[in-house]
Amino acid sequence: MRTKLLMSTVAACAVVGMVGCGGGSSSTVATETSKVSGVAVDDLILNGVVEVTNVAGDVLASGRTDASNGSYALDLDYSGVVMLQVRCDENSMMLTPEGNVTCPSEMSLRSVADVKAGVEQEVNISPLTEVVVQRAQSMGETITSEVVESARTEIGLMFGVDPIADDPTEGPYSDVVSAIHEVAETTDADVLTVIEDLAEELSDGSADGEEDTILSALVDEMDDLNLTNNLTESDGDYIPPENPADLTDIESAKAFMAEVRTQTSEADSFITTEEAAINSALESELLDLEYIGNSVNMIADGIGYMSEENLTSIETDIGDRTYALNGSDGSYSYTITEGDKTWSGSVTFPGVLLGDEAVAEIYKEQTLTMNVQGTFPLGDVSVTEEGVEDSQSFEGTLTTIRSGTVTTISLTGKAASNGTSVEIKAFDAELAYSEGEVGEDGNAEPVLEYLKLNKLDLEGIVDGYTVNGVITVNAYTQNSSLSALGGMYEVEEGGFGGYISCSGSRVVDGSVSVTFTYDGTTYEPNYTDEGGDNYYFGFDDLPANLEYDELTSGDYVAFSATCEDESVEPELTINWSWGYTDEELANNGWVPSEITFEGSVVRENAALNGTLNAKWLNAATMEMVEDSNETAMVEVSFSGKLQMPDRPEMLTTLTFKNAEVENNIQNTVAASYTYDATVINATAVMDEALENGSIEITNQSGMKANMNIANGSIDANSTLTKDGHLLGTFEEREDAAIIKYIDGSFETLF
Amino acid sequence: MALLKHSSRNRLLAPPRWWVLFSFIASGVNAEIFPLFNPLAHSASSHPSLELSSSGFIADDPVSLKDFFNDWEGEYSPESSDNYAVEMLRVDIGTTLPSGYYIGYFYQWDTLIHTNRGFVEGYYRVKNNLTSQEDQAYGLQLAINGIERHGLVVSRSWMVYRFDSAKVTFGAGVYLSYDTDSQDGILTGDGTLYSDSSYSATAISDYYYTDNLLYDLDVDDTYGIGYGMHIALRYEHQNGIMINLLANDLFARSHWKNLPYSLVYLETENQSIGDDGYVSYDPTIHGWELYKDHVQHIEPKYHIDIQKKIDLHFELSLGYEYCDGLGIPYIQTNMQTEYGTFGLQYETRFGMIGVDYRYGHVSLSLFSDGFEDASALGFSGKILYNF
Repeated sequence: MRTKLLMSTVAACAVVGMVGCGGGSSSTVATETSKVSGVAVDDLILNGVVEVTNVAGDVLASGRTDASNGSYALDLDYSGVVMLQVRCDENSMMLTPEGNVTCPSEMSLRSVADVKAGVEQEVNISPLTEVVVQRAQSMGETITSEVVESARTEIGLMFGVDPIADDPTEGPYSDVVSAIHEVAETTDADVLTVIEDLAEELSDGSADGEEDTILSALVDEMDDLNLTNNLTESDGDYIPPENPADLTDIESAKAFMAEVRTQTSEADSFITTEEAAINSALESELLDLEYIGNSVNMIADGIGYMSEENLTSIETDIGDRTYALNGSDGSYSYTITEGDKTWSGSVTFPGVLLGDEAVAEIYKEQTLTMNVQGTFPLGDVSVTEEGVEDSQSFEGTLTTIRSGTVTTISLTGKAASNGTSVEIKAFDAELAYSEGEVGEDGNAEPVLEYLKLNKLDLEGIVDGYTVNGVITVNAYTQNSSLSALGGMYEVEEGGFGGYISCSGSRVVDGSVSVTFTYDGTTYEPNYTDEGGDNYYFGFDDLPANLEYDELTSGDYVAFSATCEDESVEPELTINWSWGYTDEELANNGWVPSEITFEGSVVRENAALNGTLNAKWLNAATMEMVEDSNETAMVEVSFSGKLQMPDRPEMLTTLTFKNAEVENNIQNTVAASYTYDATVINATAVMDEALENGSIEITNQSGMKANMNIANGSIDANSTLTKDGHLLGTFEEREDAAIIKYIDGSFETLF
Repeated sequence: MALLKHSSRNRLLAPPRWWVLFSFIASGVNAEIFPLFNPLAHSASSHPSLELSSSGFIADDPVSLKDFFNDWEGEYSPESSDNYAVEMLRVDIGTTLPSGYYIGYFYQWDTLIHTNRGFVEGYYRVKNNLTSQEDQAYGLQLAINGIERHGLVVSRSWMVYRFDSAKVTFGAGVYLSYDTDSQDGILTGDGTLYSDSSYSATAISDYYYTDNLLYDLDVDDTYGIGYGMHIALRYEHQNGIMINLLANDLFARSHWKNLPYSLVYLETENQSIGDDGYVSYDPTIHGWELYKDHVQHIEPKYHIDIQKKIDLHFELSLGYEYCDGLGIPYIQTNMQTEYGTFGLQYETRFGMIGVDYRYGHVSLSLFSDGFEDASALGFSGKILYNF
């Protein structure tokens, strides 16, 4: 609110300043009729006599203020500086909070204006305009338009209002007038005396903050009224800048930094919120596409097995569930049971005939289409959450086309459960096999050479997110280090896990520390799970040649933990499992080197709509097999619309690129956003640790924040300029980034 | 001894014999806790003399002095309402002229920090990373007034009332000073410490300084010109009762030129929705950092004691000192022996026990409320050398 008030003040003062830049002529005869109008306020002066004179004292016009609202309007055949005076006679009244009272005959207030020919001007008369007049008179013998505008600007900057043009009966201006009245009352003086004293104290153009003065009393009264202006902000010690435009620019700079602050804070909040929401959506048990995929795959394998073995039904138990397939000649049904729960559906698999010789060759060159329609459990583990039905429906078609060594896969379908639905409009992938060793059946086992996911077109609602978009892999590149490993390759792994328990009690969350020291190196667990009675952990990033039998007394697991029941000692249980072989996909080195997402993601009042493109620049050469510190070089860009909650929709472009420059990684981030008339551009060039570099932020008005970052802190040489003119400097103070403006004000960046 | 010597040599001003004996004991040991300048403590002498005195007092309510300078880590025992931290040091070097005027140089370092319980509580919890089960709200009030000054003081005492059984002595001193360091400000606001260790606060600091204690800030050096006065009044009766009133730094001011000034607003809840319905963020901290002319008011210090001579060797006194809301009552007994005058003192505000000793022209005082974990310490020493 304070910022806004200051900005409106500045806007008014900016106008004042601009007008003040006009010529210095004192008076001319107008060829067009001018008009001055406004309101006369000590308290509201009703039926007061208003007289307009030129600087020589010649009366140009006169009239009276309205008897009910204190307003007046007078026509003038004149342009140049005019003085206005309101005084009272026996027919005048003042409207006070207590009602109409007699306006004292000694009451006299003045105002001043530079009247333009043919222009109607708002020229109010108030205690503050009287201060302006007296200040103008103290500037020189002749009151020129320049003098008028200087005085007007000075007083305006101090009190945060345009003393001439603003309505003294409204807003902060009326509070200033009230404060002057309060001072008069507390000092037992009349308002005119207060004004004269005040004008004298301000006669050198500055407020010096002296105690026990009319000004200090006025500042106190304005504080009591919660007024915010340069006098209250500086405790009565305010020197208007020599160039008032500086102050206008500073307030513009503060608005600019407020925009940067708001965007940064809001983006941070937005990302944090959405990250949590996305994780929640991904972890949601309302839909488990992976389980559906595995089930469909198992059904396909089962049908193949039934055909090969000439069977019409098969059944297998996995965990607590029984999976059953029945049917023949391309028409099947499946059933999954667990206790009293049952999930079932139908499958058509044309071209797969029971006992057909071709059955054994379902992986040979041919086109096969499988349709599945039915229900599946929500995942491997039975869902017992109240209000959640442990069932998801799926209806889809999987088509495989084998041509030579390449199989293309197309999947379309729709999965739904518990108000969540995802339609897979297209899923296109490509697999390549080579013929491996010939088995007992005389057929060569297919060996996977590579898998390429080419396109995924999704539309659906998942846990509040509405997604509609296409992910396209634009390019695959063959990585040299991975290609040497072929398609699948075996990896020697080493690792073990265990848990800490408290007999009859539970492990206190956050109390556990566990490490494994082997051959002089201490390892932290790669996996931990707390929250239950026990604390589980796992180490799986250990040397592949580590052997249990060869452990020495120098190798050990160290742990500490606290049991909720403090009388119970925590116990460590280790489940040894290491020296095993795992199989991983090397994909013959084919890695996606350019991916594009085009579409929208919407959740409540947040939305992202546009194109995201990511390129992996060193996909061909990056070392990916041996332990390597090599950094992936990427170029990521987004162009589209971003809608954050409680913010206007913005046209946004973002790019991130890292590159090796003189053996160092250099990160370059560029962002721009546009809404209404606001255009912000930001560029950051930082080192790999984001500790050193520079950030430049500009806007459409010529503001430029140039921040140099050294060792994670803003360097003192960082500046804020407008069109090259210095407005402030940045510095780091007590770990907080500060902007110190040239008028002595400062603010934190956040 | 100086009084005795002086009296024996100046028959015109020689007091009655009872007064000589009384003075020997009663004014032999100084019972002041705040470092004070007493215009009555300097007597005219026909010999050139040099008087040197130094006294200091440092105290802190919430934690011990050691912990005060060590992140508040030790035992915590705040006062239930207002809490104080005090640092005072005074050095005087001067001479009393035959005319009775004392003229001397003085060095003064006074800092008094006055807080409410809420500020101390919040600060202690933040310093020690303490959490609580429930959110805790605190009103925050802190005022600091400190000054370092070098100056010249002139004082004199006059006997204003005297007859056979009693007399009243009045002393006054004025000083001018060159002031080199200043602390003058307030911090007020509200804060809440949440059970998850986060906090929110709204606070305003209005602060003049030569060294910003709130945050690191390089500022230009400056100086102030100061003045003030000390007055003392003593009533002595033949029956062995003596009453001392002493006020230091009355009407004391320091006029600073271009003194660094900060007006700082802190508002952790800086998010708001504007009229356009859009969210915006104000800076968490903003304000002004200026150089301003400033008149600093120095808090006066007051001392009152009543002393009763029990016999020729023993004396009992009750005293009270006061500065900016900090009151320090104390009780003291003095005993005169052929080896000097010994005093034992106990004050109730910080619980200090003090010992005093005077022999000839030398006097020493030490007082403390403990040894390793003291939260209040003081000392004074005086020496008079007659050439």
